[in-house]
Amino acid sequence: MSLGPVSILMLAPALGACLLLFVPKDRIKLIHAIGLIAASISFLLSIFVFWQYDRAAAGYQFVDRVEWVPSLGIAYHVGVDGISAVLLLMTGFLAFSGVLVSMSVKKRVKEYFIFYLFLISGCLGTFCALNIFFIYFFYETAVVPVFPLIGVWGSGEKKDYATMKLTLYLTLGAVLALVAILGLYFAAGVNTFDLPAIEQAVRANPLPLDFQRWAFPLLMVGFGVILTLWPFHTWSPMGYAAAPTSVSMLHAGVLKKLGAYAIIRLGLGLMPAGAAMWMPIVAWIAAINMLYCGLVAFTQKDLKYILGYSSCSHMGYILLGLACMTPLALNGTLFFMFAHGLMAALGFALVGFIYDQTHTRMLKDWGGFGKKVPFVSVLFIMTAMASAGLPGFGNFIGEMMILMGAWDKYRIQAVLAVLGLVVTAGYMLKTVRGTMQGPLNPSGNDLKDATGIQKLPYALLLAGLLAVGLLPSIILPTIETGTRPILERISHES
Amino acid sequence: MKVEMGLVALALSCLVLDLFLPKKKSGYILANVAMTGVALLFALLCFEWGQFGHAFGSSFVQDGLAICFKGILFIATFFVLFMAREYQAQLKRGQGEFILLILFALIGADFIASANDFLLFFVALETLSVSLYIMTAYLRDHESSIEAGVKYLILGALSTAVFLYGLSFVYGTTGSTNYLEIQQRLVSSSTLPASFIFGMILIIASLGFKVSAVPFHLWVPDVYQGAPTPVTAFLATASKTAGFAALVRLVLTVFSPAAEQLTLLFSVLAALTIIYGNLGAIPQTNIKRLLGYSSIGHAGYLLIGLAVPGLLGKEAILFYLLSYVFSTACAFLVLVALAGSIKSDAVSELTGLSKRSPALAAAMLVSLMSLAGVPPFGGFFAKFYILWSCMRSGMIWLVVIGLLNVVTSLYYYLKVVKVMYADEPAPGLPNLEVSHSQKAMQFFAIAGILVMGIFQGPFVQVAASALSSFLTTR
Repeated sequence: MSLGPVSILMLAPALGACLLLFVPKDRIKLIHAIGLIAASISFLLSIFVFWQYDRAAAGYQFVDRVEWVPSLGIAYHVGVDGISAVLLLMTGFLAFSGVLVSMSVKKRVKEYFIFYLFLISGCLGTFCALNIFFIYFFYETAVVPVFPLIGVWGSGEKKDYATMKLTLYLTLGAVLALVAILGLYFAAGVNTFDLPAIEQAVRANPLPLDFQRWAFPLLMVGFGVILTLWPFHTWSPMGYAAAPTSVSMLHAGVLKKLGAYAIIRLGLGLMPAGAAMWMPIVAWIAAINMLYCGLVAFTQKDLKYILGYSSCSHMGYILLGLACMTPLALNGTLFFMFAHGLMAALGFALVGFIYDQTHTRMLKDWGGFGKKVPFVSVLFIMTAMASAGLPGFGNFIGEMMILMGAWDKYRIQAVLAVLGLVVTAGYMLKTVRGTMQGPLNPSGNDLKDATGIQKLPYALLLAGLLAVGLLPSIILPTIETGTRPILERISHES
Repeated sequence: MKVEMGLVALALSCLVLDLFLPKKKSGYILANVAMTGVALLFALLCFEWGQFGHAFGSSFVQDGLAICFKGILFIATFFVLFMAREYQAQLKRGQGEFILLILFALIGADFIASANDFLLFFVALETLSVSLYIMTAYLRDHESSIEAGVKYLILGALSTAVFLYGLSFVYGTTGSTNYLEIQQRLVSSSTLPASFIFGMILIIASLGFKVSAVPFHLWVPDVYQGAPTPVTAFLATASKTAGFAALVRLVLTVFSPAAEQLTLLFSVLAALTIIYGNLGAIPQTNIKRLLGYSSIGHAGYLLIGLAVPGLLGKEAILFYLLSYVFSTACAFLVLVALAGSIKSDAVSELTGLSKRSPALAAAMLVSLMSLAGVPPFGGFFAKFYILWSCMRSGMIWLVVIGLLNVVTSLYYYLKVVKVMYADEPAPGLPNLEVSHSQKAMQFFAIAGILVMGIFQGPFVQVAASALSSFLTTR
């Protein structure tokens, strides 16, 4: 048995974490080095896999398969298709920059890195697992380490409450989805959790309509919780406010997309008829997400709350894109997921950078920081513009595709979504004005700009965001190869 | 039979050895002897795989099922013996006898796993129970221990009476005490006599007491809290395993003609037990009491395996029990290691444990997360397996109850994790020293939890062949 690049990129962080168990806790440099090496392996291999993915051949590539529990149809089966390749690339970006940002953690460094690396492995594993059992396995592995990460290294008065709420909400969602997954196993009738096998079976005979009718909403709500589907979004701003910077980065950037990914794979991909039944409701919820969370973001005084609500509001575009179930919108959704992952991580990283020095995130304590930290402030303004959907950044392409896709099917919601963009632009401009421009707030007197290697994670994320924004063809064709079979099954069943 | 003979010989030689050992050290030495003996017998047990058959006029059966349950019992007892070794200082007197009692309890539990006749079963059950009554009340200076012992004794005696009453109906209906004979007679008669059903329910009620199923669970929180920690560990692991060993065999043989009624009965019991155990654990502030309630919850998940018709549910029970034994033993190992340095069993005593002793805190974390059913730990696949088999039989409502309570259980386990990791220890508390042997045992338990959580395949295979050997041995 030889492990391919996908297995290695997924296991590297977990192995790094295991290695860290045996490192004395005062060897900070060594701990940083191990964390960074593990994340770099994942990052480089995710680029390699993305680059080497054969778009012409499509399908699942770089497949590793080992029988695990044959009697239950569980196999260790990993590989990538166009969707996974792009999302792995995004996770690679975020994992690498997240580990770089984590170096500013001063307290109990060893334990932090152990939990953080396990979290990364869980995220990567979910995106590359081709066995539904392992998709769930990795998903849960990614959800739970967040508890100690926020509980121990987080900040704020409501930390304990926020941590518990976040973990319980996400686990509740996960178990609802598990009911649907267990049902799926028996409804598909092929006695396996193997995703390609089930996809094949579903192509031949679609799942029973009765089953799809009850199972899809369970999946949608279950994985929707992590996608901050309204009204289950309240854990998110609170949790992000409490979380340490690098955890908010990964959570807003990657973990939310795990939910969307699972909905696309298992919901749209395997239960298209059930999805078609429920998606009109989801489209309305998407509109609520965009407008309601956007307006709430307007009223927030804590910067992390603003970003948290902003990210909830952006999830509305993903939900709307999923609801359309058309090629344009679905490809746009995945494009937007990629761009939003980089953008959200960058936003949280920059706020965290300044917070580490000022120890306040209140809007009233910030102001005029552009004078003190020009590099960070320029990046922050660019992030805000990306968030508001300025052309040139990846978000714009994704949003355009989603809106154009939604125009035919959900015209009212599409109009509301455009309004949501205006709201986003509003609070982002307000935030930029209140933080980076105007007279210098005294709390920023001692601010120091990012130097040397500190700049690397920010530059990396921004470069990715601009690259896909200016040249969408870097990732779009790969996404299209991944969504094609799913769209075929959708049109086949409707 | 070699294992049983070896076990009895081990217990008796420890009894004799106790006479010649200096009072002060006897407990420590005997615990080492007993641990070595149990470990060797475990190896012997593994070699008995394949040599299946009956003994004592088919009142004793050795098949894969019995061997699997015995293996779990031996592992559990091995942990408990180590805990007893580390618990010498708290016991104060009678340390040697304490080890002996654990061995005698193991003999009882071992024979329960192999019993194929109600008479042998009853004798074995009483051997186990009587040893446990004594051990529960072992801390004679502590009122709570005495209270726990009395409570356990009275309710245990009651459950014995209920068992005998039920047995009298089963015997009266069928005229035999042998499992297989009873089954044959019931199968050959066209209808199921009501008196048999009545007797069956009484027997299940009395075993429900042993495995702490709701509504026969009332003793659990008080006894778990009051008993010496190693005894609590034995009650939570070995004693529960023995109860399920008996239930699984009975459900597959004597009670199998009443399969439909059993499914209904056990699914209702399972649902009640899961809900009660997990909700009851939420307000607990005493860690042993909390583990007591959580052990009720786990009994509920195990009962799902009995509710599922066919063999799959029973395979899942085997997997679940082993993973549960590793996880629970891991938690109790930490409590025993702390026993000397904490004033009470309150959860708040664990405050800041991750700073005072990272090793113990990590062990507790792994154990609690496994109990909560978080991957990549054994408890996750255990729950997954049992709920998968439940879904297979179409009881979606039970799957939903089971899964929702995973969230409940995560809440109270995470509260303990939060206390250990997020809270700061009170100033001035010294760091805890952990002995090497303690670390080795913790490592063994954690390795068990992780191996079961990641490489589930071999365990599932063994469980499946255990059940198939049960079918071929009769």
